[in-house]
Amino acid sequence: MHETFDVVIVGAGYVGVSVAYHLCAAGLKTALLDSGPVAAGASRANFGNIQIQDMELGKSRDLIRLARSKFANLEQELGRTVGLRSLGGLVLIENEIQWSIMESRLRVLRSEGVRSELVPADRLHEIEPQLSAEGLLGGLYNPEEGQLDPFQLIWAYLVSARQHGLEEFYFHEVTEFLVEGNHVRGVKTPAGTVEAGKVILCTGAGTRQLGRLLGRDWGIRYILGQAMVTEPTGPTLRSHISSASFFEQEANGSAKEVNVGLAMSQSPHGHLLLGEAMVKGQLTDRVVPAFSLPSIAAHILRFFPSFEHLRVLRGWSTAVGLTLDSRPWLGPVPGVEGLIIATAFRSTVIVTPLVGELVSQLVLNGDCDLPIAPFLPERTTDEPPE
Amino acid sequence: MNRPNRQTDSGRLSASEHSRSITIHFDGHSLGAQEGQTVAAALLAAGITVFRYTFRYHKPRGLFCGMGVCYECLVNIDGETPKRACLIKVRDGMRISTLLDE
Amino acid sequence: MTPKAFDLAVIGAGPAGSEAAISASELGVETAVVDSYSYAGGQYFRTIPPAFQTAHTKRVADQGLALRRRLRHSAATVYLGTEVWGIFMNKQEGRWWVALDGPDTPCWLRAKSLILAGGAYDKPVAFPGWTLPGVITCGAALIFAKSYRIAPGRRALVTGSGPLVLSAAAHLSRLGIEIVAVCESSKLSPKSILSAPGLLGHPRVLQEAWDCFKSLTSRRIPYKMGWSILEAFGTDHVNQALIGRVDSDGFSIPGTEQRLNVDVIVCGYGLTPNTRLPRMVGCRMSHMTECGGWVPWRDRRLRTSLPNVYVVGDSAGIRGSENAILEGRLSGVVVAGSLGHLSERRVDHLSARITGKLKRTRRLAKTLYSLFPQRPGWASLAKTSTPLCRCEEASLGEIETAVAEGARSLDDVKMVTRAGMGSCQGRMCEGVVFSAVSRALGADGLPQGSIGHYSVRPPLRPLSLGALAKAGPDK
Repeated sequence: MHETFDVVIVGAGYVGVSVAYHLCAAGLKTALLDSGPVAAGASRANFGNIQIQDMELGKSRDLIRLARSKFANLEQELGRTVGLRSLGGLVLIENEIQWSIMESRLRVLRSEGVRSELVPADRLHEIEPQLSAEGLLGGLYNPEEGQLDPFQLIWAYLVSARQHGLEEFYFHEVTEFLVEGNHVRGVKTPAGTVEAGKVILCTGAGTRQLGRLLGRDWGIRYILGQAMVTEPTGPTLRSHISSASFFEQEANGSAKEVNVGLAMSQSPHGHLLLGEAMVKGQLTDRVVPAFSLPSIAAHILRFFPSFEHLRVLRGWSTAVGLTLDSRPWLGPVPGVEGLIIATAFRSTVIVTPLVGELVSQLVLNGDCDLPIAPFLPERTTDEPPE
Repeated sequence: MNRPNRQTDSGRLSASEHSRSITIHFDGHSLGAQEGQTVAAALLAAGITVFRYTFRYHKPRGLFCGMGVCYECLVNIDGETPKRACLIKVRDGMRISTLLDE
Repeated sequence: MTPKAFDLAVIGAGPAGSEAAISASELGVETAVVDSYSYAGGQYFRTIPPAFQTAHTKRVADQGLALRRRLRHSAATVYLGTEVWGIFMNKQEGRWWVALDGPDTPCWLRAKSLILAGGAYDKPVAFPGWTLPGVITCGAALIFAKSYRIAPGRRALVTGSGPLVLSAAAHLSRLGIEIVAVCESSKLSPKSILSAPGLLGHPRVLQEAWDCFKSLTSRRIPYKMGWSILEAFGTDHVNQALIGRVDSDGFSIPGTEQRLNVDVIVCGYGLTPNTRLPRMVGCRMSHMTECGGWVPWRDRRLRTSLPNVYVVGDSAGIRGSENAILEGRLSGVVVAGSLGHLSERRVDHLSARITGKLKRTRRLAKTLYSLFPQRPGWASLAKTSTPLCRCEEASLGEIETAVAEGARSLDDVKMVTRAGMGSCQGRMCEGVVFSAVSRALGADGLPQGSIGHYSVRPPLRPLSLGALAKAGPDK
């Protein structure tokens, strides 16, 4: 196989398919490659929550502000529903340290026009009647977050992109970059060569090993995350729920074999999505570790003891890419022509429509609506997250 | 619930001598059943074939595979997690109810 | 508390699993065997409550009793009424950790080797109205007729292909149910049966088939060859069936339709192997239609692509109970050899004997399949509005739309239509969705492998949060 395109996108997750759609809509001859099937990585494991409260508040405010505005016309633009709906977001606070972290976050969020509030423990039941507030100090609540169906979104982008001529190559692993001087001119896979004027990497946890093909040591790490889904049930959760311990842990890290965080929401189809456990492991390992699901279950029951009889249908595990400073990589790779990276967005759903647009602008104009200096690949200012 | 009892006579032979008759309840109605039967068998014997309604389109469902693989025969038993009627044995006084979309 | 360690864990105590456990433990292998039923014997040797036993069931029942007795007297540790919800490899200690859920059972056990013997179940075929209460599988009909002596209805249509159709019809007829018709997809003549390779060497099989056939003819029950169900009608229960002639590929022949008033439709279009556990642990799979669908790859010693993991019985391909028993025995011998309890020579000797007998059972399976093959036309019965995924109610139309929009695999279709995401996690719909995707792709030349199969992840069956939490590392 030897094909030539204007652009080749590596990685068919949320970001990759959004980029593919925008580039195809702009009239570029576009190829989308993935070492596996569609959305094989973190995107397939995602709950579809549009989260604002957990955004990185240092340099990502413009990103999030602009991102939020892209949902109003999304379904219209794609010509399909994607299960988009408004949903509250609740971050549970367990101790004083977390409370003060949330207090400072609240100030910044408010200044962004986000209607978050700090809710004391004795009022949590107004937001989530089934939540057991024992041991909690309260929560940070934003009534205006959102949710969509991740699969419907990904499919909507793909269907539209296909209508504009997208070509897809699944189970094609990139084994080499085609390089001429300092110009990347495409990629090689075991099945052949894909030449393109520009190569865009939307590869999440797999980004680092691609960098090694270019002799670069990119600081995008990964952990293996597990989550699970229950049978459908009547309206049970009114918001998506997480824990402020996430922000506390960011600073400390943890040495346990299975780390457990809190991530819960109810899908538009009625299933409860429950997470999350994190372990270290191999990039391509999809096997669910033995104690991940029991750990998640025990943790969930702490906050929602009435869920004891709710039945879990399926668990999963996937590699999730992370950067040290919790900011994504978005922009051209320094010293290399024709290579752009758009990956490691912490809260991916909210930025998906925007990033597709921004990358399309970068490809067409060399520039985009958002200042991307804080997100440039290989940046050396790896400040600790705020 | 006025379907005729479906327990057949042929082959009942020693049934009445060796198995104990018990009472179970389905959606509030009392039913006769026999120890050793599964919930599905007891319900079918009483002419009950709709065990639940589906989540998406609210369609009636009942026994299909009979061996615990298809999850069609889910019913509520004594207020617990939904169970497969084809696998659970009846117990005297058991309270069973149709699984509606919850 | 550290979970108990065994040399071998056998999952499934049907004919194959029980024989594996007995044979391995007899040879000195420390064996645990787990089954979700409260008795060993699986589907083939189902316990018939003493209250309901008759002379008909005696021979098989005696065999089952003997098997259960031998298992009880063996050195194997038997966990009955216990479900396995996951199996995980602990790389550091090189052992499989088996997650258990049952009353009075530990949450975990550990084993070096696994023999997976999950059996098989009815392969569903989708037709309009197939989800109505009153439409049941042959397996269900046999269970209710044999174990509980319950008539699933008053007037029955039995439809499908193969020995189970004949057996289900015969058993129901002996219960006194009115069987309006038996529709067998295949057209068979006495000549085609008697000249089928190897069949004459299985007199018991022929005798049983003949007995079943006589039960039908003596009651003047029409056994219509080259016929199939087309559609079922009813509101909250089936009350009518449409049947019609089918051609040699199983496609319906227009103009031959007949309506029947029935309140139960028994469907038996073959069996499909239960391969949930082999897939979950990562065995390499291949698609073999004549074996009933996706099956784990095995070498001649029944080993899968994973070291120390074996699959035996119908879950490795539909070949019947006699085959299952022999494979169980063989795997026990091979495991014993792998642990050093038997010399290589002894393993070779014992294996050769069993393998010789396996040739017969395999030939029988081949023969039966040639008489009653899977027919492509069955996949054409469903209409656009027919749900193919029963749990999530994803219709043929939705699946065809997904393919038209670019879906090329079961994974894609699942993502878009939610087929396979319900309670049964694809057990019922995998075959029908696979066929529908094949047809929509016009996949005559497309390698079956590219459409793929559903992936299997823990828990193996729906498990409550409470039960899951009990299996935590600190418990």
